Amino acid sequence: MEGRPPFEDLVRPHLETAFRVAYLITRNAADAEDATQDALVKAWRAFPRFRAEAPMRPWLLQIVANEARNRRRSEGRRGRLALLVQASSGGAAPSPEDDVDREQLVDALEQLSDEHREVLGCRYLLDLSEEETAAALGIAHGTVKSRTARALEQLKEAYGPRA
Amino acid sequence: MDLERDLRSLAIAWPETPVFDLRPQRRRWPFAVAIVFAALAAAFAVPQSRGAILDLFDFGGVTIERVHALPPAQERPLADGLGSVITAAQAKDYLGRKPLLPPVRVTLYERADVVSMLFTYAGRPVLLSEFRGGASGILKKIVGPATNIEAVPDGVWLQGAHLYLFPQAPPRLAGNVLLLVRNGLTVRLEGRHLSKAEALTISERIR
Repeated sequence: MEGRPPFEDLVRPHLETAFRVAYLITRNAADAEDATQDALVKAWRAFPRFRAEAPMRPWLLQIVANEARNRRRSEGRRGRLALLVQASSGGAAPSPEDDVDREQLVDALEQLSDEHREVLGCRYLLDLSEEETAAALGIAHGTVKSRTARALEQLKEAYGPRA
Repeated sequence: MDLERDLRSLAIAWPETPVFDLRPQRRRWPFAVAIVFAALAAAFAVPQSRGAILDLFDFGGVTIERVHALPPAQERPLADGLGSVITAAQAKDYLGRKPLLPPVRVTLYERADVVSMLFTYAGRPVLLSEFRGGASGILKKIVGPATNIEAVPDGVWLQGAHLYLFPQAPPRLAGNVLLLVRNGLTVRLEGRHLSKAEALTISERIR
């Protein structure tokens, strides 16, 4: 523990990503907040066992995602994924057709199974690496690859001929 | 692939990231206060029990309150609301030490820092719950006049139906319960038809 930065300093840079991972899983901002805070308590308790040379982000995301999944199961909420496409603004604004396409892509994401939506959310919406995605979703590295491929196929079908 | 590019280019309006407490040890006290408050609110919110508290004492982390009449509560399965499945290592984190375990294979659950497990003894289900002792009011029991409370070595035996208030869960009607303080933990053994002798036998076998 000596010479290691304090817990707060190590987790702070990853809070936004952690909260968004929880949001992807719970589909509810309040549940995501609770899951993230509870996960932080657990991470803080487990911090003495955290290897100093290990990367903090996958470790934290794994705890947060696990807490979010538990909360989703216990709460039994299956609300619609509240992904909102930001309104176009300023500069070279996309055309209305582009906005429609984006909305339809989000709708197509909504139609996927939880595991497919989550793997695509981690990889492409949150830009997590395969290793981080594996940690967050509690699956093997190879499974991230295969599940991503299957999810993209499913999304392509749901998105239609635009893909 | 275009689809991957399209996904990456989605500008998602994520909810604003909340401010999180990064010194979580500070949360325990307000949480304990909230539990006590919720428990008291549950007791006083029922007209029959208002002003009818006869006695109140703490044992380990459990507050026991005797009232003239029990507020209404549902009888629910022991397995109800035990929380999330956790590993033995996680249980150790919650309890600050290895959990006390029966000599049978069990699944560990955690909810509100209380580690629980279910097993059968003499063919009947028994719920074993443990948490760090000392913080009074983490769990609460409201007992009626018909509930017998008896001191046993290192513990208290509650014979008869009583109200059990578990953090983040609605009150439920509990059966017979043995409370112990052991190795810094408050230990709770519950079984619908558990006898005192059976409970004490089990308490000798958990380690």
